[in-house]
Order: sequence, then C-alpha cells, then structure tokens
Amino acid sequence: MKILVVDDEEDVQALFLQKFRKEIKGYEMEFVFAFSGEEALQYLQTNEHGAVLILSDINMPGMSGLELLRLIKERYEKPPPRVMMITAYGDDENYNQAMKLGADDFLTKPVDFVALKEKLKAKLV
Amino acid sequence: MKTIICFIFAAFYFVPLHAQYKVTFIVKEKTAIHHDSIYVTGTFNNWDSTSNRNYLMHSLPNNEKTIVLDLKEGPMKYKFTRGTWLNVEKKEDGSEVADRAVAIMRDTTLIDSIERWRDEMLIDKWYALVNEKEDTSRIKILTDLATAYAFQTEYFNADSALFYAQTALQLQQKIMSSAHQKIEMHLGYINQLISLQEIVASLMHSLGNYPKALELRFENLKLAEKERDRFIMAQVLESISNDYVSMKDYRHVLSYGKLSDSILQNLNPADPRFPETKWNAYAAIENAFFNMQELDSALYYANKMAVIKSLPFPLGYLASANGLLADIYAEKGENKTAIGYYKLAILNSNDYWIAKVDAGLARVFQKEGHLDSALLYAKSALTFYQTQTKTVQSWGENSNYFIAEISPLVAELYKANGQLDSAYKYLHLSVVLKDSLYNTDKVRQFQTLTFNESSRRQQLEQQSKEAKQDYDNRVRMYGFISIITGMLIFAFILYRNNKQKQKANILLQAQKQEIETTLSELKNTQTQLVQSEKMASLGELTAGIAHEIQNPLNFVNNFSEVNKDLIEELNAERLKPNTERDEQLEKELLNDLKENEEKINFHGKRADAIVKGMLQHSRASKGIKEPTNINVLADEYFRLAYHGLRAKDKTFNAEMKTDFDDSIGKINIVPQDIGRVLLNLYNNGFYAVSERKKVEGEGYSPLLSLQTMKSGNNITITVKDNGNGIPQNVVGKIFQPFFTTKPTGQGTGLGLSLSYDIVKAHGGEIKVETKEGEGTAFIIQLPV
Repeated sequence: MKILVVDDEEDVQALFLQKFRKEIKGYEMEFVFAFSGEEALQYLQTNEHGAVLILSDINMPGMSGLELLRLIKERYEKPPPRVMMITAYGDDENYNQAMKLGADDFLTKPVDFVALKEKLKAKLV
Repeated sequence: MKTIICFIFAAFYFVPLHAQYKVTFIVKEKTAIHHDSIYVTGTFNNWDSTSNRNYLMHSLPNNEKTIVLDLKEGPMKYKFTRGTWLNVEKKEDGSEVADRAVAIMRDTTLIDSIERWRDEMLIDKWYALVNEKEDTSRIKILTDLATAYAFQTEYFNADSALFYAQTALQLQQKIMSSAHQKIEMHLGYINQLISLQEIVASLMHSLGNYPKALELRFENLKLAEKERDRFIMAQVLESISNDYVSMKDYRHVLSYGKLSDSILQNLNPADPRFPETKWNAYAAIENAFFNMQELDSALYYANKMAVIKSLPFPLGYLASANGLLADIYAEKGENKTAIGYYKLAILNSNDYWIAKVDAGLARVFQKEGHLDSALLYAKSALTFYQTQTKTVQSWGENSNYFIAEISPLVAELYKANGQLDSAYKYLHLSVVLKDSLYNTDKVRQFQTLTFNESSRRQQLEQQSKEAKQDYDNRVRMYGFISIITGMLIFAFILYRNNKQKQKANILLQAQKQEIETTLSELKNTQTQLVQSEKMASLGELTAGIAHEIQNPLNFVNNFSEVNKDLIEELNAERLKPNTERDEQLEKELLNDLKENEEKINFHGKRADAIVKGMLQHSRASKGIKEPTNINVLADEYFRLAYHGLRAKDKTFNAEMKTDFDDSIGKINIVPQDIGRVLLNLYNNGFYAVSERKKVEGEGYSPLLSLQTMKSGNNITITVKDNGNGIPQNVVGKIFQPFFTTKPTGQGTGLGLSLSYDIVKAHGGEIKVETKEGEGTAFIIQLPV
C-alpha cells in the first residue's frame, strides 16, 4: 500500500520512515512525501493511482490541506484515494469542513502513531 | 477597465456661405490591418476642430475604401491618421504626419493611402511577442494587443481581441498550475488577471452575451475582494451594474452603483483613479433612478456628476452630465430646459453621446408635436448605431441594444406620418432584436448568476454579522448581569432597612459606602471584561504563533519516542549472541539515533526562539514616553531581528551595517512601541534581501543598513535594504492595514500600518523610498 504524506515540515519524512520502519522493511507499506499541496497534486497527476491513501496536513503555506482535499475529491473520481486530514487545530470548523469536503478521517496533532498504525493496517485489509 | 467616454470632437454646424462640393476620398490601405473607419483631421474654411473625428469608410474593389464629404469651396489641408487627438500618430523618424494641401473648386476625388508604418503600434508588439520567451512578459504583450483590439475604436476587432486575451489567460493558468504559490499571490498578477477578464467581459457584453460578461465580472469581483484593491473593486462593481443596465434590471444597477459609491467614500479622493470611478458610480445610480422613474433622485445624482472635479477630460464629462440632465428634464416634461441641456451636451461630445442626444431630442420633438424633426433626429441616431457597430463595440456596448431602444420610436413616428410600411419594418426590427437580447435563456442565466452571487454575499455578510452579534450578545449579557446584581443589592439594603430602623442612619451611611464599593467593583469587572474581549481578539492572532510552537514540540516528542524504540531495538540486538548480531543494523540504528538527537535539539531551539520572540513582541507597552537612547534601542532590535531569522532559517545570512550619530543622546519615546516599529522594518528588510537572494543566488550579497542622524529638531532613522524594491503600483498601499505581499501565513499585513500609527502618535513621520531592482529605504523622522 502506497501512502502519500503531505506536510510542509520536512522532518515529517524522517519521522514517518522511522515510525514505520518495520512495515516498510516488510513491504507492508510504502511512503512517498510531498512538502506542499501543489507538490502533492503534481505527484498525483503523474501517478494517478500511485497512492491509495493520502495523509495531509491542513495548515500549509500556499494551497491548504482542505484545498488539496477538495481538488483530489473533485478530480479523481473513480475511485478517489482515501484522504486523512491531520491538523494541529482540532477545532470544529476544520473538522466540519474536512468532513464536508469528503475527508475519510480526521486526526489531530500530535499524531498518536499507535492509533494511526492500527487505522492504516485496518484499511489494508 | 472599459471607459465609455473616449472624447473625440465631433459634429459640424455650419451655415452655407460658399458653394458646396462633393469631395470623394479614395483610401488605399497598405497596412496589415484593415479598417472600417479612419480619423480625419484638417484645416479648411468650413471645418473646425470639432470635425476632426472618425469617419466611416465604404469598401470599394481592389482593397480601396472611400469617404465622401460635402465641403465648401476653398483651400483645405487634411490628413488621415489612425490616431486620435489623444495619440497623434508619428512617423518612423518621430515627426508628425504632414497635412496634404488641396483647393476645392468642384466635385473632387482625392487619392490617399494609409502607409505601412502606421501598423507599428501593433507590429512592434508582434515582434516583441515573437522574441519574448518569458511567460510573464508575454502575458503583458498579449494583454496590450487584446486591449488595442478591444478598446481602440480604430483597431477594434472582437475576434483578435478575444484570441489574444484568451491566449494570455491560458498562459496565466499555465503559470498558476506549474509555479508555486508566490506568483499567484503576487499583486500585479491578480490585477492582470482582472484586466484580462474585463477585456473578455467587455467583448462579451459588446457581442450581446450579457450573462457571460456578468459571470466574468463576478469572478473579477471575487479576485478584487481577495486582492483588497478597493479601487478595482469599485470599478468591477460599476462594470457589473452595466451588465444589469443592459438586462434592464435597474434594482441591481442601483444596488451595485451604491455599493461602489460606498467603497469610494473610504478612498483617497486625491488618487488619480478617483474622479472617474466616482463619476461612473454616480452614473450607475443616476441611470437606475432615471429608469425607475424616480426623477428627483436621478436629478440629484446627475447634478452631482456635473460638479465632479479633476476628471481626465472635464469638458467631455460635463457634456455627458448635461446629456443626462436633459434626459431627466425631458422625462419631467420640461421640454425647454431639456432642449437647453441637449444643446450644451452636444458641445465637446463624442459620437456615443451625440447619438444619445439625437435620440433624446427626437423624443422631445415628438412630445412638442414637431414630428418631422423628431423623425430626422431619431433616424440620425438609428443610422449611427446601425452603421458604427464597431465603434459602439469598442466602448464595450452592443449596437442592437440601442437599435432596439430607438426603433419603436421611429416606427411610431412613421405611423403618425401614415407610412405604415416603414412603421411595421422598424417595429418588427425592434421585436426581433429584443427577442435575441432578452430571450428566456439569457434571463434565466442572469437570474442564476444573480442568485449565486447574492447567496455568496449573504454568506460573507452572515459571517461578519455572526461575529458582531457574538460580541453584542456578550456585552448585553454583562450589562444584564450588572443590573441584576445591582437590583439584588438594592433589595438587600431595603430588607436591612426595614429590619433595623433604629440604626438606620449609621447603617445607611455604611450601606451607601457598600453600594459605592460594589459599583466600583462592577466598573472594574466591566473594564476587565472589555480587556478580556481585547485579549480574545489577540488570542486569534496568536493562534498562528501557537501552531508554530506546537509543530516543533511535536517533533521533539515524536523523535524522542522514536529514539526510545531505537534504543530498545539496539539493546535487543546487543543481547543476541555475537555470531547473530547484525553489525550493519546496529550502525544504522546508532546513526538514526544521532540524527534524531540533532532534530530534537533543532526543534527545541526553534520553539525557544519563537517563544523568546513572542515575549519580546508582546511585552505590554506602558505607553509612557521615557528618555531613551535610540542608538542602543535600534541596535538591540537589529540584532534581535537578525537572530530571530537565523534561528528560523539557518541558510539565511546578510551583511549588517550600522552608522550611529552619537550626538543624538536620549530622546523621549515609548521604547516598546518604537522597538516594534524598528523590528518590523528590519524583518521586512531581511525578508526583501532573502527573497532576492533566492532568485539571484551567488552573485548577490544581501545588505541591510541602519543609520541614525540628528538634524535640527528632528532625528531620522533610516533602514535600507538592497532587495528587489517595491513595485510602483504597490507603493501607495503598503501602509494600509492587511496589505501584504508575503504568502499567506507569513505576514499579517498589519506591521507597516501599525508602524505608521505608532510613528504618527509620536508626532513623527514615516516615509518610503524605493526603486525596483535596487532596494528600499524606510525613513522615520521623530521630533527630539
């Protein structure tokens, strides 16, 4: 399962690679990273079914995560990749908007990696 | 933006003294672009400057065209140009086109040509287009070409204009999807997009496709709102009102005209765009009132239009206002006054207004019973609209609209004359045109667009209303609480009063005191509540900063957790017998551990720097002036700004120069406030140089210099950078609140506006000197 992680913080890459070290070694999961919404869209354009699941931060400079979510759900109709939103602002407005735009899940930072791992594995099955 | 008023002197009035001859001009076009009309200027005895204008040409075989004029006998000088009196065409060597001299003594045919060099205006741009590789510059050239084809009467060509505008739009979309957000946020970019869309909208309007025009202008409205350029917003609103004029929806004409007017009320009347924009806003309102038959209101606005000062062509605008006044008086039945104003309107008018005046006069003469004159004027207006469609289109209007308006009148006049055939013909024409202009499809599209826009607007208003209501409710609640508390206390006092009548006097005294203290406590609470309200709004601002801290803290936590796991894994590996130990894995784990430690350290420091910066910044200003050594203060904040930026971006570096005037000594200022101003200027300067560095790289060395100087009773502090400078179209706005060129999230747009307020409060001044590509200097002047 290929997962696209979108976050403007570059250290997120190192963090995910280490947190999911075992899963990556066991070929259970594969991660690709984009550091902005624009970059994520570019990736999706060249690899249409490249990512089964997208984990995106909401608060990013330029295209926001919500904007990205909207574009993904608009452009990639069948089947749209699953999109999980992650944000430091766990407020209702962000949550409601993400859900309205069709987010499949909503996590707040700091990310509980144990829970995230379980969720990802559940989606694998 | 489209300007309807493009004044060309016009109309002849002359009394025949000499014999009249027919002068036929045959014009050979040796140019790449072919024209329907040509601008004629001349000097001869029956010709004055008002006759210099565009004349329609009729096509002949062999690419020749002809104009026939009735002229009196005598000498004449003339020339054809494709310029107007606003832009006289020049030859290659820069000299003006010479007049040709001829004597008229009989019916004459003159052969003339329009030379190839007159294409230059367009040809230059084509060459530029071919040679220009840079997309942003290509967009600029394409826009120029589209503008020439769309708005210059002589060049008008809807297809070409649309082609260039759409090519430019496509290019812009390409940039938008490929490049990063900075270009999108760039100011010039959005304005460019707005003007391109306005070109297309104007063309659509001129082709009678009002819904498409309206749709594009609504898009422009959204862009202008995002851009916060309120002049452009006002202009877009006026264009929108014009679409509603064409659909005869005067209620919306009125509301958009008023909206534009209300925006203008907060704008600087000294801005060169102000008078014309104001004029157009009033014109929309006047038009709406006139057509809704609220003639007194219309009159009020037409009179206001007549006195607007500093318009680009004052006489022309005055003529137009007189035309509107005449229409109103005609509608009121004051025919004499109306005719007087029509006469004034025809002076200095352009063709557009002359046709309008003709139509107006026709209506007045009809009422007066002069049916022949009425028919003459009505036909004159009609002929103009029927033959000069391109001229009308270059003003962004559609001829059919005017023809549909005037042909029922012509029909009526023919009918009164007993010419039923002609009456039927014009009536039929009007019905056919009205059907094509206002068919159900168009009306429906218009309603849908109107509905969408009004629900968008409602949403926006709802949002701001909710915020206000929230605040009002809270204030109301506090008021309510204080009243109830007061009443309870009062009841309590009465109770005690009854109980202890004997000690009444003493007690009353004490109780009075009690009430007073309670009251003052209540007052205190109230001030605190107001304060906390302020803090709440401050809280919203700091949410962004909190997020900035949350991120590094998360990293610290996450990486330290990862390290715990790594250490466990490492230990497990080490417990294995030597033969099974995976050296490679151990090495890898150790390496990861080290890297993670560095990351923890980095993010810890990052959070630290942010907190320190926040404390510095939010240190409550006591608002008290105290003698301060400005050199020390300026230097302290200079270093603070530098280290703050270095902490965020290790790669950032810049040379810092200081030049302090030691004779300044101490001056009376509020140190926190002036510190904030300086910090802000430094941050902007560092930002400017780092942006330039990103583009230019090695060859460029960033420099920020700080200078203090005493001169007379003033001291000046100059903060100068060698960054990109501020574009000319932006300079005027930088002190406005919420104006920022930084990408979202990187600037609140409040820095310079706060700085401006602070310096003003100190009785000083803040100025900016900037040159694109060379840098910017902010100069603060403070009284000693």
